[in-house]
Amino acid sequence: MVSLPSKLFFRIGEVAGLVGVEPHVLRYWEREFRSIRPTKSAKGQRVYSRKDVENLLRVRDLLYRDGFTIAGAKKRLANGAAEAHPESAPDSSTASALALALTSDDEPSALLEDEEEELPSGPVSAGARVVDSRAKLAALRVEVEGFLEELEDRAEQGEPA
Amino acid sequence: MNPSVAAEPPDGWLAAELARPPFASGSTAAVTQWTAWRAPAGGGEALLLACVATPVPGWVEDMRPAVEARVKGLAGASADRLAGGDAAAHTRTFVGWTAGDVVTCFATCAAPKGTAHGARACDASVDAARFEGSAAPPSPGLALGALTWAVHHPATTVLWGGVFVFFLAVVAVLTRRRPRSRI
Repeated sequence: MVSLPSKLFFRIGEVAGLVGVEPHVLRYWEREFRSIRPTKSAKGQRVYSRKDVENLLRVRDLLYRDGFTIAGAKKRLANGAAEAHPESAPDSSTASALALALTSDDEPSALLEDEEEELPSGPVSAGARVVDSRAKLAALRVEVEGFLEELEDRAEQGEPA
Repeated sequence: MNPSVAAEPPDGWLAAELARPPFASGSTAAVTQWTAWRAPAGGGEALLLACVATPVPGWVEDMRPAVEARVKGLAGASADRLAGGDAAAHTRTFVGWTAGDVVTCFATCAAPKGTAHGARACDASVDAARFEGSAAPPSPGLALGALTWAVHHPATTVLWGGVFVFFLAVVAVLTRRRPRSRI
């Protein structure tokens, strides 16, 4: 299994590199598999969540390693989803909403209220938690700004998303 | 090693003969696996495991719809032949590769139409079928890769094609034979 870089969202070129297929193949799989639903930025470019990338890696393994056809892979994924415990599956709706919002001009800090946060065990002062949250938000903001700059550069160069 | 599909027939089933599919003359496809069993009690129930290898210059995902449609068609036709008419069949299809071939395989459990799904003893064999021996898809190579790229980037291809034609035109004008002066 490919270890994904420690980031929340991926551009189509990055995903193509991780999965090992051309971007047009990702768009083809997106049409065929309902579990792959990248959000679109305000500029219409695809933004893949980690869950999307994991689903794409699973599709790649089913098609190329296990020899499934598209129809067979769909059935296998549907069966796998039915067998999985729904409460243990990550909630992609929040992540998708966040992805969409982060690629617009909104402030990212306002969108993190519903995100799960692992808090250290034991008594922790409210002040320490606030400092910790602010540091996380600052790091996230840096990552998002870099991501937006890359998207804009690509758009200016006329590269397809 | 050629990719193949492996499955165990139900207990007591007997090996059966079924004519291999007739390919068109000139076809480069070759049957690499063709194994059938029939229920001992008759009734037209049968299990078939089959693979067909076709040489390809490389693999691009754009080939998949045509390849999968072909294996589904072959599986359906084979099920009808197994059942001796219109068949009710449970089929799984697979796609794999060797260094220069795409290999399509299927496992099908067929019975005459009207047999309820689940009533066929070989349905479980199909469900448990395993696909083995496939390699990674062969690289498309320069020509096929370039063609695929051009299909998926038509605007860029037209632009560079136009630039190339313009360049050829300039070269033709610059190197044209000029008429000799009569003065």
